[in-house]
Amino acid sequence: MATDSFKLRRPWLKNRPWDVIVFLNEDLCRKGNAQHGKTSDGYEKTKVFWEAEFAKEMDIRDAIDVCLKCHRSAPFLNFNGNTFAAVARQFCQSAVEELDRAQQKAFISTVGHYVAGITSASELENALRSVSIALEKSKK
Amino acid sequence: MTRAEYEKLLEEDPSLKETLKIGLEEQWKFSPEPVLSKTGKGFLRSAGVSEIQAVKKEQRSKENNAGGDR
Repeated sequence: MATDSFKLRRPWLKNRPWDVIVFLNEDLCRKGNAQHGKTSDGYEKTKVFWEAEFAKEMDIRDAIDVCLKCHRSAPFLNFNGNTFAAVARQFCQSAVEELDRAQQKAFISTVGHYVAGITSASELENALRSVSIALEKSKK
Repeated sequence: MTRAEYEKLLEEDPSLKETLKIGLEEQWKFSPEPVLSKTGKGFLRSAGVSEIQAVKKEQRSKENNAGGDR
């Protein structure tokens, strides 16, 4: 099932309405002893973007990019990167459960680094390609 | 959505609970303040080699156990 879900366009983010993102950030800020709050320049535009995108069916690459864009827009005062990277890592994790742990870890780590803004798009593409091949093999 | 509704969702939706768990586990790697939006380049503290070493060790041990079962 995970093999198919990795390839198909799916509403990867649909269980994460904006309010959930806000509460996730609030929890992360509380645990991290950081102030939770909205930024004056990033919050509204990110909220509008997320609400327009989150329920859409899209391929996994596009869903990861939505998380990166929202991180870049910095809607919150603190822990934007962690909030959106955690969302991306979780749905990507669910897509590669058939793989062994080392392969899963490598892929999830690349996704986390990409959403954090320190890994290039080509590295993500390579990781997606490798995982796609590995999932095909695991099916046989 | 209220805080109470979110907390109920956390209890009912394992994937949301997992998302929060991932965020908390990875928190130390992130800088709290926005970096990517200000500099165009993100920031993440390195986990070093310990993480990947642990995965490789686990993998080797699994392979050895599988070999021993044959």
